[in-house]
Order: sequence, then structure tokens, then C-alpha cells
Amino acid sequence: MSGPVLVVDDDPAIRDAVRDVLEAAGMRVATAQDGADALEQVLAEAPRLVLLDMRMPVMDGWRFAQALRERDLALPVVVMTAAADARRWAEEIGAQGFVAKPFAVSDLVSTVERFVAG
Amino acid sequence: MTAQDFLSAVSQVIFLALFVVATVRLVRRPGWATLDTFLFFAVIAGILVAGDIAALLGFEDDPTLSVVNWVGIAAMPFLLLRLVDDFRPQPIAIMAIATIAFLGVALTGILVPQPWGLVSLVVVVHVVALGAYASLAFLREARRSNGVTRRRMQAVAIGSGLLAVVLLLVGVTVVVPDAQPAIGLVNQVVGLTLVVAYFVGFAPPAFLRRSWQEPTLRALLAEATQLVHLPDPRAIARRMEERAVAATGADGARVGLWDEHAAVLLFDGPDGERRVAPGGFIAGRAFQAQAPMFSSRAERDAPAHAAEYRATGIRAIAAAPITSGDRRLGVFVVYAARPPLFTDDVISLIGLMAEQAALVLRSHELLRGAAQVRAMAEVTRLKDDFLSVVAHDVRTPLTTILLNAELLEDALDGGSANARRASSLRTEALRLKQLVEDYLDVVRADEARPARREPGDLVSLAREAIDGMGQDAARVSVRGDASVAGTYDGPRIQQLVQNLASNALKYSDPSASVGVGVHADGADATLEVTDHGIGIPEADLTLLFERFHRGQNTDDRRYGGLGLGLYICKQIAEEHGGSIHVTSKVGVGSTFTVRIRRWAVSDEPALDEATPDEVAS
Repeated sequence: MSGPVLVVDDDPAIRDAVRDVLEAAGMRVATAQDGADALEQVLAEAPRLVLLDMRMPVMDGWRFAQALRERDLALPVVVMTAAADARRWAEEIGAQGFVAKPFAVSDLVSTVERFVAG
Repeated sequence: MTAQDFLSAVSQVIFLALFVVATVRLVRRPGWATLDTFLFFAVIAGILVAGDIAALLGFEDDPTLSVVNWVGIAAMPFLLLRLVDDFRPQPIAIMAIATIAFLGVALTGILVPQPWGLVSLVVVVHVVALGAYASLAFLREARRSNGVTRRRMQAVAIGSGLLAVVLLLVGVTVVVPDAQPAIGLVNQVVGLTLVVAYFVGFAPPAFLRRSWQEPTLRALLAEATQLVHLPDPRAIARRMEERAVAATGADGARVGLWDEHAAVLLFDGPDGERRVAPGGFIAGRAFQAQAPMFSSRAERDAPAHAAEYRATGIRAIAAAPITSGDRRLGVFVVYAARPPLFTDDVISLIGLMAEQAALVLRSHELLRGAAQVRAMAEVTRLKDDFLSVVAHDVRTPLTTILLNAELLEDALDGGSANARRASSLRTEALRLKQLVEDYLDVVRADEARPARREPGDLVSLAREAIDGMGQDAARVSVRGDASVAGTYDGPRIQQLVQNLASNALKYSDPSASVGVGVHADGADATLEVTDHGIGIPEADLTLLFERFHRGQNTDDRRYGGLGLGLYICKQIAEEHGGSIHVTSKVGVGSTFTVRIRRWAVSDEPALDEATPDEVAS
């Protein structure tokens, strides 16, 4: 079994809820509270997928995605945002998928499983 | 022909031309000023031509001829003074002296036999004095005027001064006959200068008028850019009035602004606002006719308002409509106690100022309009920003509530009270989510936004919209053409599809399926959403697409929402130049049909380009 799913969100309640859901679905989960924190974890833990909030302090989702590209880290990213147009954000940063907040357990699990199952 | 003869001939030709011009003016615009101008040049032409005709006929030395010349010379300064008086009233004493002197000199010439000797000297002194006075009076008037009128006044003043000099020299030859040859030559030169001055004054060529007008027009243009920024049209009108008085030397000017609503011209005056109906006064008539008007006798030309004109002492009025394209903005009026000496110039200047006023007022209107549009756009932007922040901040905690409620529900024993409570938490969170989206939609729905259309495929848009619906997507099938190319506002079309599909699911049995059909139909595209749900009662069908309308058979607790979904669908269809319809039967199901134009008017392709899609279908 390879690396964890990295959940990046500045809201601890969301980090916890998402981790609980994914762990209940049998996945290993790591969390980060902003883009900079996430970047360290990517290097340390080599996650399989990043679930990325857009609006965060220190380093936001957009700059995190840019940092990934600059380091040539090919890694699937799923945007997880409360902004109006989650799809547009996903296209903008070159992410592979998106879930718009608020989402149901099934939406989250099915989206993540598309990337983690194989 | 000697040089002297040549000069003399040139002078004569010009004077005759001026006589013709003065005659034409008298006929076209009869009045005291034109009559006096005519008489003045008639006398000069008479003196000049009479001598030549007499010489031709051989009675050059006839004493009657001298008498006629004598009377003519006496009349010249008198008529000049009358011209000055026509422009601005002169002291009654001066006019009385001039009249008595003219009659006295003329009678002396007729009654006293030649040679007149010393009498001549008295006559010459009187003639020169009056001529000089008239010249100075014109100079004074020139200083009070502006532009073309000023230049013409100056020319006439110079001419009059030179006329006094010529008459003085003639007088000298009468007293000292030996000086005749020398003075004769000087007199021809001065005479020619005087005739040129008069020509420039009384009948200036077009190029001179234009170059004299230029500084005034330039000043007007320079000011126009400032005027546009004044707070309101009345302030602009006041400045234009001041300008008009300065440029024309008129006694006053008024700008009447057209009030489309009340259908009156509004004049701002010292004693409050004045309302003039189109067709009333000279101003109203110029406005109604949409043509400049001039009256040298206002009380006669507008008898209905004669009393008022008499009370204010206004006799001469020039009015020009202020019109930009086919938009009537008002009327420009200048008035004076006496008609202007150079009426045509004043009329053309008023016309120009009216055009200027039209430009300034129209620009002012447009600028104000643009400022309003900018302000509205700014408000809309701020509202959008605020809404997205609020939406973001509400969605974030909702996410936690929703996820935890579900986790809790799953963890608890199915039939327990706590499981029921967790389930209620979850459905209420979902309802809150839907309410937030609906509130956002209603605020945004009120902004008339043009469709932002981009090339795309309606079928793919519909499929993506259904896929975006999460687990519900499995119950919806998209059928129809393989692709329906066109230009669409993608996010809006997806919102339309999702609204219709989620409605269809909401009002159907949880196991029932929903069909979405997409078809090309020439330049149009149709999108059908069919369900086998509860159906819509006939009473609801007409109000279905109105804001906040909810069906009679929809229970608020079971079917959440604000009743905005279909209202928004209708708007999206209309943004795409189309419409939305529904057929429904209670207990059987409903079909919503959206018909939109595949291309915006601006990017509609030629017909043969549109065909491949039909082939594909």
C-alpha cells in the first residue's frame, strides 16, 4: 500500500471530518493546515492524492499547485473549495478533480476513490 | 487713363457694389438700420454717378448739379449719425443738432446762389465735425462688441473717419482752389482706402468673416470642455448665456431647456423659472419649427406677447433651436432693445452657439449616464464580492456539519432515537445548503446579465451538468443527438440542466428515472427533461415560472426550496434568445422543454456550416 491521502485545509473541523470519512472508507490520511505545511508533507510522505482547499493563510491552494509544478511533482490533486465555481478553480490550477463544499460523504468518497482505487 | 482716374474708377465700382448690397438688404430685411444704410450708400452713389452722367450729357457746369452734390455731402454725416443711433441710441441733443444742421445746410445750398464762399467753410466744419463724431461713436461700439461685429464696427469707424478727412480736404479746395491738384490726388488715395474700409465693414467677404469668427469659436470650444463637467444643465445654460452676451454685444441671452416630460421649455430667469410652450413667443416658435428665427419687431411678430415685450423693452430677438441629431434639447435666444446693425452675423453666431450648446448638453447627458453606469457596475461588483465571501463562509461550516451528521448517523444503531436525530441534522444541513444556493441565485437573478457565450457542445454541457450532480447522476440518462454545436453560456446552461433535472428527481419516486433529451433543430436547439413524477396541477402551470412560486401539491417540509429554480431556468433560456414550456399531467409526470438559439446573433454561422450537426443526428 502506497502513501496516504493528504487533506489540506486551514479549518481543523473540516480536516477532522474529512479524515474520519476517508479513514472509515479504509484509507490512510495525512493532514496539513496550509500550502507550506502540505509541501513539506508531500516531500516527506509521498501522498497518493492531495485534497486541496483553495483559500488558506501562509500559502493558498493556487500557490501550492504552482509550487508542485515548479518542483515537477506529478501528483493528482482534487480541489475542495467553498468558492462558487469549484470546477473553474480546478481547471485554473490544473487539478484532476474537484468537490464543492458542502459535500455529502458519498460525493467525497466516490471522488477520492476514482484516484485511489487503482 | 491716369492713375488718379483708375483709383477713382475702382472706388466708384466698389461704392456702387455697396449700394447694390444695401438695396438687397433693405428688401430682404426692411428696418431702420437697413433703410439708413441704403440711404447712405444711395447718396454716395448718387454723387459719384451724377457727375459722370452730367459730364456724359455735356452739362457738367450746370449749377443744379452742384446743388445736388451739396445736399448729398450735407446728408452724409447726418446719415452716418443715424446709423450709429440705430445701433445704440445717441443723445437726443446730438441728433437734433445733426438734423437741424443738415436741413440748414441743404436749404442754404438750394436758396443761396453760388459762389458760397465763407458759407462753405461753415458747412465743411459742420460736416467734418459730425463725421468725426460718428467715427468715434462707431469705435466706442466696436470696443463693446466682439468677434465679427467688432471688426466690422472698426472698419466702419475707420471708413467714417476717412470720410471726414475726405470732406475736410474737399472743403479746403473750396476755400483754397489753388491746392486742388495736390489735394485731388491725396483725396483719391484716401477715398479708395475709405471705400475698402466700408466694403469690409458693410459687406465683408466670407473668408474675413470666418477668420474673425475663429477666436470666438476657439474660445467657445475651449470652454465647452469645461462646461461639460458642470453639475447640471442649468449651470451650463447660464454660462452659455453669459458667453452669448459677450460675443454678440446683445442686451441679454437666455437658454431654454426642453423638459420632455412636461413638454415645455424652461427658462431660468432673475424672477424665477419661466415655462414656455412650443410655439409661444419667438423662442417657442423657433423650437417648434426647429429653425433659427429673427424678429426686429417682436411685438408685431408675436402679438400674443406684445405687452410683455413692450414692458421689457425688447424689440429684436434672434432664436435658434438647440438640437443634437434628432434629440431636441432646447432653444437659444438673444435679445436687444434695437436690432443689431449686422443681423446676419448675429444670427449665424447664435446658430453656432446653439450647435455648441447642443454638443455640450448632449455630452453632459452622456457623461452623466456613463457615470451612473460605472457606479452601477461598481455596486454590482461589490455585491458580487460580498455575496461570494458570505457564501464561502457559510458553506465551510456546513461542510463539517454535513459530514459529521452522516458519520454520526452511520455509527448509530439504525432504529435508535439518536440515529433519527443525526438523520434530521443531515437533512436540515442539506436544506440549509440548498437555501444558501437559492438565496444567491435570487440576488444574482435580479442582475440583468448578458449571456457570455462561447463555442461548445450542448450535449457535452448537459452530460457534465448531470455528472456534477453526484450520486443522483445515475438516475438521469442523456439521450438525443451526438452533439449540438453552438455558442452557449456554459455555466448557465449547466445550471439550467441541473435545476430541471433535480426538480424532476425531487418530485419523482426515488427509484424512477429522469430523461434528458438534447436535439438540434435548425438554428435552434431543444432540451427536454422528462419525469414520471407527481405532475403539476393545471392551476399552477401559468405561474410556474414566476419568482417564489411553489406548486400546491408540494409540501415545504418534504420538498425544500424557495421556488426560484424555474424562474432562473426561464431567465437562462431567455438569455439564450429562447423560451421554456411545460406539459404535465398530475400523477403521470411532466416534460419541460427549453428551446434556445444555438448561436448568438453576432456569431451565427452561414447555413452550410450549421448542417454537419444535423447530419450527425
